[in-house]
Amino acid sequence: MNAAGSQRLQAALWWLGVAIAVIVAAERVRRLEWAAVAPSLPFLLTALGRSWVLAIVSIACGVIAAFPLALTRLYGPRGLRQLATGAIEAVRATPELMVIFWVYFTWPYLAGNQVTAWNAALGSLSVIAAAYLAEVIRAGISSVPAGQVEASIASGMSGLLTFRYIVLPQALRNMLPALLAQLVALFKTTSLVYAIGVMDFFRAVAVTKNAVFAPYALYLILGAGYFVSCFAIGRIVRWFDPRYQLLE
Amino acid sequence: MAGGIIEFRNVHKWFGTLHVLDDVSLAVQAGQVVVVCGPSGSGKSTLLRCINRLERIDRGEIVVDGAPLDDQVRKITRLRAEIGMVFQRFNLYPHLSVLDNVMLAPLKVRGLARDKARAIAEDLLAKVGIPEKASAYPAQLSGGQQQRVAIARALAMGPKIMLFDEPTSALDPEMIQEVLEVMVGLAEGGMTMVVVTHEMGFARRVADRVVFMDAGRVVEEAAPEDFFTRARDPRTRSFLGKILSHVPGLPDAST
Repeated sequence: MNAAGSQRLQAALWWLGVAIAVIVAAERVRRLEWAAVAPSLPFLLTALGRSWVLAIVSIACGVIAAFPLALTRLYGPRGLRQLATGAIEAVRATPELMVIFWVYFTWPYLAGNQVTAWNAALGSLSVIAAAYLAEVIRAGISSVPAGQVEASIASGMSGLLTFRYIVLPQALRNMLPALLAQLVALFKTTSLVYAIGVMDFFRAVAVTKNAVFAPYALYLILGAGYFVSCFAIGRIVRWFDPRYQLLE
Repeated sequence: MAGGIIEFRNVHKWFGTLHVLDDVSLAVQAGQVVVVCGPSGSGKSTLLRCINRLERIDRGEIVVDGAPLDDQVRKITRLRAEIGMVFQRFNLYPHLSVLDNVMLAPLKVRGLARDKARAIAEDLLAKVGIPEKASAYPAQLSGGQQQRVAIARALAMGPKIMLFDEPTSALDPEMIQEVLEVMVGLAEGGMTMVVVTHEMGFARRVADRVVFMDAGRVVEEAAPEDFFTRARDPRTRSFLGKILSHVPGLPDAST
């Protein structure tokens, strides 16, 4: 047999193996406890929706806070700059779960009133999003070469015009890959609010599992729910990818 | 010597402990072309960048267009609009088309109407010889074409002074000429130009004066014919010997 023939045989064997594995897996999946899980599906989907609300609201609040934080860390006067740096690094250097606990359990002491688990979840996730997104934004802005700023201000553009028309568009373009990674991480972080009793997707799956014994089916649903969500985030971010290529 | 459009009066500047500008005094008259040369690290780029306050000075005074440079941001910004600058690495805006690169400052700083700015930009692109590239992006252009766009971009503001910071140093040899031709055209049109370059052929052809810098000091300042044939300072002669013997096709220092 010649080399090409042997390669074709190898490829055929490989695909045969993959096909068998898929069929076996599908058969195993089909035999899972779907009938027991089916009544809980509306409950699970509602909870997935709740996770999306948590992610969208906290990311929106996070972005709003992240821009001033990043700008202060980059351009702010000395005292403010150190304050912003300290706040960002404190959140980034501690476990997300700890931030959630801090907001939930210390807020009543500081403010004197109770905070609901839902509001504590939104608040703490926003704080986390703000800190991580501030760093993504800062890295994007820093990635714009100094020569770009020099060319702009040398032509008589003010600092503000330069930021708006030269720095920001290039920074946004450069920060897209890091932004995508961060948004996916933030979506997955929403599952931590499970610890303070918010009925997000993760907790809903855990609760269902305790009610009906169908762990494998439920864990598959859990994985699929997060996978599809994170995949969708990737698609959404890619819409913003401009067509042009950057040089230097 | 007094009353130039650009005047340096006993200017000093330090980068840390490095004395990059050491008691520099210099005057450029309106319409003059001054070429600044010198070994790397001699302070020639810094000198240029002080004219539009991309660099601050530590002592002395610089007067541009009748007004001393100070730290008032608004005044400096207004002055920069009157001074065009061309960089070694072009520094075109990669996210904007060639036309938008040229139109941006006229639109945002001068507040020109779009069609007016567009007409100026198209006119200038024709002048630098690449009208057909108006809708291209910088990444699609050769180095020489990018630098010509950068010149058009600087000219779009209708500057009184043009600064060139080693405009051909990052170019492949075959593209140097096309950029120099544009610069010669500008010089012959009466533009005030300060050019940091080692293109001695260009200096010989259009410069009114050549300034040689070494270790932060102006060592020699002369008309081109004197500069190339009767340099007083041994450092100038040594420098000329090095760069002229290494660039084929340029006149020899001894001619």
